[in-house]
Amino acid sequence: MLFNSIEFTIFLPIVFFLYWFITNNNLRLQNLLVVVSSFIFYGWWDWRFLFLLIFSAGIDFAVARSLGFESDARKRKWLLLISIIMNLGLLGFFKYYNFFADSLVSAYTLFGKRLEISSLRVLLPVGISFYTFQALSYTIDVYRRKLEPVTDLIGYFAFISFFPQLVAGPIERATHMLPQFLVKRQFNYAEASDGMRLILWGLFKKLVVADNCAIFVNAVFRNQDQASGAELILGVFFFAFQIYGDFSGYSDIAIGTARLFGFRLMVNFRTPYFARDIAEFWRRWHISLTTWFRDYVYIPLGGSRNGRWSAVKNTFVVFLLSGFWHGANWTFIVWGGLNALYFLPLLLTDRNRRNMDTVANGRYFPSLKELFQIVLTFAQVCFAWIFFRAANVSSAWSYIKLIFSPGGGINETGIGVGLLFMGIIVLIIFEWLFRESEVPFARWSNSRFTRYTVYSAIVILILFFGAYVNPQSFIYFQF
Amino acid sequence: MKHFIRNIAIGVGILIAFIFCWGRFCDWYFAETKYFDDKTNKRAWALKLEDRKYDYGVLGSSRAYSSFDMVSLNSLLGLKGVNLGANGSGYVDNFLVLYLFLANGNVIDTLFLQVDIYSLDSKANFSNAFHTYQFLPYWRDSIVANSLYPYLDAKERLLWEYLPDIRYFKFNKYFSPKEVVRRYQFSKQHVSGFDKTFGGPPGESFEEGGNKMSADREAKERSFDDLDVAYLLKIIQLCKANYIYLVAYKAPELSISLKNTSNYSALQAEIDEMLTQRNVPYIEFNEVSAGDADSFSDPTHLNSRGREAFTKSFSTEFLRLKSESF
Repeated sequence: MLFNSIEFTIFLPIVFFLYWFITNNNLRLQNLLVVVSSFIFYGWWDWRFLFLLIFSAGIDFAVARSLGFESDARKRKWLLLISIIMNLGLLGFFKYYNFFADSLVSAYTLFGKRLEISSLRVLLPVGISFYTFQALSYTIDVYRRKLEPVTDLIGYFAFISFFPQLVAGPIERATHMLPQFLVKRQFNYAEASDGMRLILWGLFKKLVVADNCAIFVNAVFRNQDQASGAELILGVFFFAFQIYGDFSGYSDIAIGTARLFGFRLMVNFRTPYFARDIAEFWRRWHISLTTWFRDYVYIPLGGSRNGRWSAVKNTFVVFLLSGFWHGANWTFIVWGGLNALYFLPLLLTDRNRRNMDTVANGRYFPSLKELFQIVLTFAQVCFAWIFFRAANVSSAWSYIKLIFSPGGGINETGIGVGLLFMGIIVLIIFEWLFRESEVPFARWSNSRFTRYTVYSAIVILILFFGAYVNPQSFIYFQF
Repeated sequence: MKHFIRNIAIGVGILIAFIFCWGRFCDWYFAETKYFDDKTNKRAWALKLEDRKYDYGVLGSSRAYSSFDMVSLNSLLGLKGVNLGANGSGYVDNFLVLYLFLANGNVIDTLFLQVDIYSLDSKANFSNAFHTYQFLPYWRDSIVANSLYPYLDAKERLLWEYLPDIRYFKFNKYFSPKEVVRRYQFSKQHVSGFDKTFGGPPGESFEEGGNKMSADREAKERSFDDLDVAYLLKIIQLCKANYIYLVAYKAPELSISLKNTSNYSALQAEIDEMLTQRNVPYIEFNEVSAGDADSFSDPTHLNSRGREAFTKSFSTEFLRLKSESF
């Protein structure tokens, strides 16, 4: 079920009503409602994969319970290993089997040998990378004794399957999210209003910015050989906003929806395109995944504790893994590697933690230097997006080469470039205005008239400029 | 909670009221013939015609639209005709254009309907076989609504049933405030290129190209789409109900194009049988046209040279038919 679908428009008020008016006096019943509605939400796409979700979550629950009883360090390690192998095994099978099989066959061919491994027609379960990482965070945190294993199976399943963030995150930590399912929730007007603001802004990002950009981007990447250099540059520029609008829009709607039910999800994006260097960008982009890799991969590998070269090695490992997490394609690995390369000079010169504050903090406009840094970082990010978006590495290289080929203007792609810029400009203005707050428009103006005028304007923009003819799925569903 | 629900209810209420008001405005404005789409939009031009009397008309896909030089044909025949054919039109599209054209008080004595294997499987052969947005302002007419239903999924049908005005926002590109202004400005010009060509293609259309279809392309087995067949039969009924003499015809195409359909003869025989059963004469114009590649902009569309030759052949055939049957 998509957030921008008719089904969800009906589904959400029904669940909201049952949640606050029917099950509010009984925590277990309320959690059961969360589980059932999450299963409906997920099963709407393909109910068969619910069994996979239940199976993997069930194993993790049992492993964590055993970890709670077990004091022997060796046995605890084995238990953790079971959880890791099971989770990553399922993820590997569904997401990476064909990639590894094809890569192995290609490698053999390079040495003049033939290897026959049949590719499987495996359907990728939506959101498997997200809920697998979330479940792993639970068993690892129980193993590290940061968290007591839960005994409430329903509460646990509600945490794993919570529908707002089940299929595309934010990837929550058990330590942050699970306790929220174990205590009675109170309806909070301010939180719910913030939730509605986030949903509204998320819909704008998705329908007006991302889905419109997608029309242009798809046309350019599909016919890159016929496109002019200007179109190719615009193609990647619009893709940067498509993926941001799409994914951060999804996160906003997810966080907003969770707030309607009294839950606080972690922030996933903090205006990443205003970052002044790549390190700041990664502190602001897909924060839930970046911090997951930091806490469960980078730091256990030694982080920066064992000297500079160890930090460099670990940084590369994290970026390459992060690229690979996105999909079974060399393009994502190159994308990850490229970001690691961008990061390298900052790491070597100890400047990776230079920009910890928000840009132009307390000022209306950035300085010229800051503006230059923002543009430069954005250009670096855009260059890497070419690999992320291309069908394969050779297409990406050809795309880059074609950018520098002469001639051509902007051809008909089925959408006016002016409309795309209009959406992006509105996005940039509001993101700039609210770059220091977690929720757009929140406590922005004391004038109710001003606030409601802005909300109405956003609604009108969504109605008149949203893309509805060929609804686009959220990009991150495929990961 | 009460406060929150009240605010949400007010917001949703205002939203629905806005959607309703905009919908009603669009119902009026976009169906108003004065503010028709624009000079390049053929279907919209046909829908803006009202209270006119024509001796004959032509209806069909781009193959109908591109085949005639209407000015020459009218002068050769000494009659007044109109070309209602439009690019990418399947039979549902054709039916609605004819239905709304007649509903606007227009009259036709004879209708030449282009019937071929491509139009009878429009979804497979045309990139956009049905132009839903063109008919949205007429949605409240149940015949139009029923024709649109097959192109909507079940959820959308339900939504449009209960909140019909929302349909304009799905196609907001065509029903935006900007479009309102553009049409208003265009209405002041009053003259459409199609008024001068009687619905025929402007001089520069269907020129470039040449023979784009490869001769050695693998032949494909085609079939008919049930919806296209059903609406072809509806067009026949509509003509009968309005006392229009219907003649079906097949516009010329290059022989190279015929080879791309493995079951071409069988399908043509099926068309023959279907039309004969309903007493609709069917003329295949392949032999009539010169049939050389220089007369075509692509294997199924005539260019201006081919159009000129075909118009002459058609006028001869029309006069023969008239002397025999009318």
